[in-house]
Amino acid sequence: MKIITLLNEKGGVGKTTLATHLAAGLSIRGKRVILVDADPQGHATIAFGLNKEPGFYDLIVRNAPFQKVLRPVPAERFNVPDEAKNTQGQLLVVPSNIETRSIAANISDAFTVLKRFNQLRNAIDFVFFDTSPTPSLLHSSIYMATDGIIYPTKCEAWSFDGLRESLTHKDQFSPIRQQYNLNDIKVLGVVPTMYRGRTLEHQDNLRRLQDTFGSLVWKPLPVRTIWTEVASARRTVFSLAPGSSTAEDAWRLVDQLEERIYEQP
Amino acid sequence: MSSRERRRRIQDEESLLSANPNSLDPKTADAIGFGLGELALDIAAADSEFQAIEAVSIHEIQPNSIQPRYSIPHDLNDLFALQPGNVVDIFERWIIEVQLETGRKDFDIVPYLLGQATDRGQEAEKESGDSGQSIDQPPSAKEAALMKLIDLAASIRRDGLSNPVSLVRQVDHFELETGERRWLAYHVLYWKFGDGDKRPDGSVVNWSRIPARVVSKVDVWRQASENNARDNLNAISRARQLSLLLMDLHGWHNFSGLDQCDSEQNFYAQVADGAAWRIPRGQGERLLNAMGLSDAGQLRQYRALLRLPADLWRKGDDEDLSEGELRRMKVALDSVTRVTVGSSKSKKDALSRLAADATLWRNKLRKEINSVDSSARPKLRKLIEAEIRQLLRLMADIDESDTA
Ligand SMILES: Nc1ncnc2c1ncn2[C@@H]1O[C@H](COP(=O)(O)OP(=O)(O)OP(=O)(O)O)[C@@H](O)[C@H]1O
Ligand SMILES: [Mg+2]
Repeated sequence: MKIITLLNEKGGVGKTTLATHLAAGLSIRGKRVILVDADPQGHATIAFGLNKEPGFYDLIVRNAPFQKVLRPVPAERFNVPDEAKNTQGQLLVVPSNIETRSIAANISDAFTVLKRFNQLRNAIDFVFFDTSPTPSLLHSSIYMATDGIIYPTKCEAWSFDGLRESLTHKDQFSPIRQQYNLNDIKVLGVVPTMYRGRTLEHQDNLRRLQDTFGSLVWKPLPVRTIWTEVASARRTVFSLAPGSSTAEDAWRLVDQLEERIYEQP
Repeated sequence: MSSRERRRRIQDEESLLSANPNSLDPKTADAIGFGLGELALDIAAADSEFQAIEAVSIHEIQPNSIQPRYSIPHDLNDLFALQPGNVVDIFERWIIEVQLETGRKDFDIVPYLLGQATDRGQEAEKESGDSGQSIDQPPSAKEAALMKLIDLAASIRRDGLSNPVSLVRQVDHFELETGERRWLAYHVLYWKFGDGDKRPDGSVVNWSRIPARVVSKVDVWRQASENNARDNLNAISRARQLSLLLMDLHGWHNFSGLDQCDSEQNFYAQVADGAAWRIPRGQGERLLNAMGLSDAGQLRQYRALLRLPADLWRKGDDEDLSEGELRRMKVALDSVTRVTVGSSKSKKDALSRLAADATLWRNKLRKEINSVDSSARPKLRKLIEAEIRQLLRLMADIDESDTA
C-alpha cells in the first residue's frame, strides 16, 4: 500500500482535481484505491456525487471501523461509460464535512492517521489524501502517514509562495520521521496546472519551476473549460468526455504518477 | 459530444447512480455489484484487527509467557511466577534487595514516582553522612532495572500512557501481547496511589485500569515491530524474539510449549540449530526487517546466543549485556571448562562445598534480615526462610542421588 498526499497551502490550484483523477485512473487500471477527503470543504466527496458526512472524523476521532465510513463509488461515475461494467479495480471514498476541522483538536498523537491506514496494508493498493489549503495539526498527522507528496501549482508567480511554504513544512518533518524509523517522504512531483501555454508569463514561470525542481516537474496540465463541467457533473473527465484531449491530459497524469511510483530509488 | 448532450446523459444516469446504496457491508456488497464482495471481506478483516481502546482491569491481565523481554530479574522470576497477584510481592522483594545492596535502608520509590527524586546521586546527596555505600558505586543490574521501571511509571503518571497495551481475550482473563512493562508500571502506581489519584496536571486517574487494545491473537511479528519501534531490547531478548519469529515461520506444531521445556532458554533454543531450522526461502528480508537488523551474519550471531550456557544467558539478560560481550564471555568460558573437565572433582567434594556455601549464605542472610528497616523485616524473613527451605530441599535431592 502506498499513501500519497496532494498538498499546496494555496487554494484552488487543482489538488482536488488531481486527487480525484489520479485515484480514479488507478482504479480503472485495476487497483484498489481509497480517496480520503481531508478537507472540511468536502469537495472530493461531492466530486463523486456522495453526501458530505463526517467519515474522516469518525474514522480518526471515534475509531469507527472502515466498513462504516468507506463509500464505494460506482464505476459509472469515473470510468469510460462502455467499460464501466468491466472495471477491474475499486474506488472508495472516506467522505468529509465541516467536522473534519475539529479532528486536529481531538487527535491523541501524531501517529493516529498512520496507525489507522496501516490496518489496510493488505487490503488496499493506494490511499490518496486530498488536503485543505489551510495548514492545521491534521496536516502533521498526514505528514507522518504519507509515503509521497504531489504538489499541484498554478503557473503564476504568487502561486509559488504556497509551494515554498509546503516544501518547508515537509522538510520540518524529516527529522521527526527519521526518529521513528519512517522513510523520508518522497516528492512524487510538482504539477503545473491550469497552464496557458501561449502566455509568456506562464512559459516563464514554468521555466522557473523547472530550473528549481528539475525532473520533479510534470508535464503541465493545460487550462480547459471542461474541468468545471467535470466537477459539477460529479464525474471524472474519463467518464464525462472519454476520448477528449482533456481525458488524454488526465491519463498522462496517471502515467506520470505510475512512472514515479515504480521507478527505483 | 456537445456540452448539452453530455448534460442530458448525466441527468439520465444520475437518478440510477444515486439509488445505489453506499454500503461496504460484506453481506450486501456482493449484491450491489462493482465486484465489492471480496474487497468488503478484506476490509472487514482489517477492521476486526483494530479495536477501539478500552480500559481493562490490571488484575484481569496475565503476562504472555513467551514474550521476548523479561521485565523482572531472573532470580525474582524464579521465586514468584509473574502473575497479577504476585506483582506487589515481587516489587516489595525487589526494593528490599536494592536496600540491602546499597545499604540505604530507607530507600523508597515514592519520591521517584512523584518526580521529586531523579537519580541515586541526588538522593544520596540529600542524606550525606548516612552510613550507606559510597555513591560512586555504579548501580547493580537489579537496581538499574528497578529504576527503569520506576522511571516508566513516573513518566506515565506525569504524561499519561501514550501507547495502549495490546491484549488477547482468553476464557477468563486477558493475555498481554505487548506492554508488559507498562502493565507493571500501572501495578506500581496502583500499589502506591490507588484509584482516584490526582496527577500533576490536576486530572484524576484510576490506576487499576489500563488503556488497552484487544487484538484477536498474539502476533509475534507485530510484537517484534512494536519492540523495535519503542524499546531497546537487550541481546538475549533479541535472541528470544528471533527464535519466536523462526518458530512462527516453521510452524508452531514443530515445537514444544514453554511449559514442556526445562527452562525458558531451552524453549527458545529449539531453533538454535541453523541447519535444521533454516530461514525459509524468501523470508530473509522480512526477518531482517522485523528484527531491525541489516545482514544475515547478525541473524546468525543472535541465533548463536540461544546456545549460551544457562548462567551466562541469565546474566546477559539481567545485566543487558550486548551480543559482542556475550560472545567474548562464551569464548573465555569455553576455555576454562576445557581445563576443569579434565580434573573433574568427585560428587562428594562438590556436595561439601555446596554445604559450606549454604552455611555462609545463611549467615549472610541473617545479617541482612537484621540490617533492614524493622517494618520490612517480617516480610523479608518469610522470604528468606522460604529460600533456605528450598536450598535444603535441593541439597537433600543431591544427597539422594549421591547415595543411589
Ligand atoms: N486545468 C484546469 N483548467 C481549468 N479549470 C481547472 C483546471 N484544473 C482545475 N480546474 C478548476 O479549478 C477549480 C479549483 O480546482 P480544485 O478544486 O481542484 O483546486 P483545489 O486546490 O482542490 O482547491 P482548494 O484549495 O479549495 O481545495 C475547480 O473548479 C476546478 O474544476
Ligand atoms: Mg480541494
